[in-house]
Amino acid sequence: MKRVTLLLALLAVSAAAIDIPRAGFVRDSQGRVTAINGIAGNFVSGDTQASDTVAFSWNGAYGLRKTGAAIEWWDASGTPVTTLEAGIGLSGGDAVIGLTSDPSIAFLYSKSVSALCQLRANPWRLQQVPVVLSDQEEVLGLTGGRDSVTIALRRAPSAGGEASLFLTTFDLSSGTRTAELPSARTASQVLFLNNGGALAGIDGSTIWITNPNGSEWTSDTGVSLSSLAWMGRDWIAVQAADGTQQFALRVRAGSDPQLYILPQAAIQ
Amino acid sequence: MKRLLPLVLLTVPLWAQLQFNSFDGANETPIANNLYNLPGPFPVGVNQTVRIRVRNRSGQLACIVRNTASGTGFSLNNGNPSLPATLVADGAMDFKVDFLPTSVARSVSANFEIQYAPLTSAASCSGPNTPNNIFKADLIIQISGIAAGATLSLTPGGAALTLVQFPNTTILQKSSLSVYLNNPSATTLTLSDPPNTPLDTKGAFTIVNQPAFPLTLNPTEAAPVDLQFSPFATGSYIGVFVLGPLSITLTGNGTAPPFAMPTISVDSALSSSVQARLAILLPTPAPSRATGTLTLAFQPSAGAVDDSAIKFLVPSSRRVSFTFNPGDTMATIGTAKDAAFQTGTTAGMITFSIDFLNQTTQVKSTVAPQPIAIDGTIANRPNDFQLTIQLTGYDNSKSASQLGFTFYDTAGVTVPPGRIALDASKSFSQFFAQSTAGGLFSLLAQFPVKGSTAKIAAADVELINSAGTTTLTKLRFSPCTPVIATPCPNATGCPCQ
Repeated sequence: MKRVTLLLALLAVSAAAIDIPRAGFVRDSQGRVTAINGIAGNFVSGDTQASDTVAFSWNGAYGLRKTGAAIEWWDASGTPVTTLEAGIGLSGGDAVIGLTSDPSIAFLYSKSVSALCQLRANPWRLQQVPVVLSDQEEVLGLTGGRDSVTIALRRAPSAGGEASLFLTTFDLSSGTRTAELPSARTASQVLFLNNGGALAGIDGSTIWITNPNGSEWTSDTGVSLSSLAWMGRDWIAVQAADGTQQFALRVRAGSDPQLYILPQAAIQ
Repeated sequence: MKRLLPLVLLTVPLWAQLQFNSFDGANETPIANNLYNLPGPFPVGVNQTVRIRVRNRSGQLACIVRNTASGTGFSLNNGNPSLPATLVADGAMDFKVDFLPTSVARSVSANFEIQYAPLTSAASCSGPNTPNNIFKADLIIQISGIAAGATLSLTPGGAALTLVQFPNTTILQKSSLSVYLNNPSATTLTLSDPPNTPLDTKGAFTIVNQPAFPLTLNPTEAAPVDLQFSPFATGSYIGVFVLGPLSITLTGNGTAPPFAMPTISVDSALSSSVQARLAILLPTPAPSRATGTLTLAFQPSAGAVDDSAIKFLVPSSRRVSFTFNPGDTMATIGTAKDAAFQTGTTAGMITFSIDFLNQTTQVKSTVAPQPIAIDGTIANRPNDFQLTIQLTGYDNSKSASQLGFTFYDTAGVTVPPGRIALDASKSFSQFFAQSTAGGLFSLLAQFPVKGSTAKIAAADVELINSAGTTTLTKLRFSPCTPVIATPCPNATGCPCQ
């Protein structure tokens, strides 16, 4: 049996190997993307990384930042590595970003032109997906893979009542619907947690998480919520509708979700 | 031919037929030299009636033609006899002269004049036989001293007030003040009417007790009047106490009700890296709306610098305002009933102070030094010849020194050389000296491996600082998933997710 040994212990821990921990990045209501340093319960606002941001999501492995005219791909270090021109009708307007468990695949849905794109790395590609949605369907969240996309759809009821939430999977090549699961929750925005089918959503002032085993977690923040997006590894940023508060929701596998308040200076 | 006498008014009676007498209703006393001296002082604003009895001392009829009263403040009483009228021999006719003093004076005088004519038996006091030889008799009425009249004072007979000032009074509460109506004059003072009401347009000033009117006050006598001030809102009030010519200004100030001093409800001992909450409480409901300021100050342990993460979160500051609304026992801080704050990652003392209605109070919470806390770990195999362990956490005493690593193979057996120790004191102290983020740190330890890293399954980690030892057991290594978006330099390993 081959013997395993360690060479001289570690190469020494130099000061350069110690740094301030980064929790992630948040986009504020003015479109600025700012670094958030710290750990659970102790956040410090870092430098502003970018401005004029329409949509942003970064999960610690990779991320997308959409401006009015372009889409930036950010790597695991939080550095933009390429810019994809939004030349297929995606420029301007709000967008829904869908990060996946595969850090080479992402999705982006432009609300203004109702267009869905798949973004790929190595080589960089931005390809519009032939998914057709009805006028009664609103995209709340995205995830997917190489060949399919799953959209959290809010579907207006045919005759009154409350809009329903569905998780609908489409085949990317044909655009056909291959599966659909109803959700018991209602939401204004949804995030796929990529850990076995868990979902996070916001509904009024409430943040909720549903797990595939049926268990749920909710927390009422007391303020109306407008958006949620990945801000770092295991961290979700949740923004209040009035832009005055932002929360950091920790979603670690095997642990209960933990909700924190981000210092206000970090979000304005 | 009979010569007609012209109508002549003779200033000096050729025939002293009439006599002026003082008369008190029972006794009649001749007035010497037609000079009626009345001792004062008479009070300003209080009408006086001078009674004069005119007696016909001749044995002849007299026709009283008319009378006059001249002098400031003097006038004939409406109840005087209708003239002309006949006054029989030795008969008397009573007259009244009213006098209303209008200002303080040493003395005042008036002239009371009777015009009359002697009558023969054939003559009469009216008609064609009215005599035309008219005489006049003058009486000088002299009053020595006009005083100020009724006065208002805080004590019986005390100094006259021009202003009644109530003490500051809590809104919806009452302040009472007893004042006295005084008669400083030497004559009896009769106040016919009560004070005018209301005393002010807002109804804050009221009379709660007063004597019956008409009120007669003998010289130097005083009568109490109880006044009350009850403001219904904060601010200044003004009223006026009017009693005849007496006019006294009333002032008062409505003040906010007193508050009990609020207390700060927060744990006296806090841990680092916690988002805690603080409330400001009143022992009794707030009587009115009031605002204050809540301040946080941090005193780091010796040798440490301030930790900017220690602050309130909404708004993100070390100073926030709070408000009590009427009925509240818990302050509203921002929009919430409590204030969330971060305890940072530096040991020390957090002092919370409130400044409220010119009062201050504070509480202190201790953040004790504690062993190094680890919030996140990532143990990776970036490639076949290197292991990495990333530790994220904080050292709130900033005294990290020794690190220890023990590796285990897939069978759970310790991998030689066993526990690997490292003195990281210098590295940590250099880092903390430059860091602006308290005791936060993220440490990446890299281990070169001879042989396959796949055989190494887990590691124990020890971190030592001045407060103790932190041990992480069996951190399991995972294959590193390279970040595809970034070119992957295989020689040193790819950045891991």
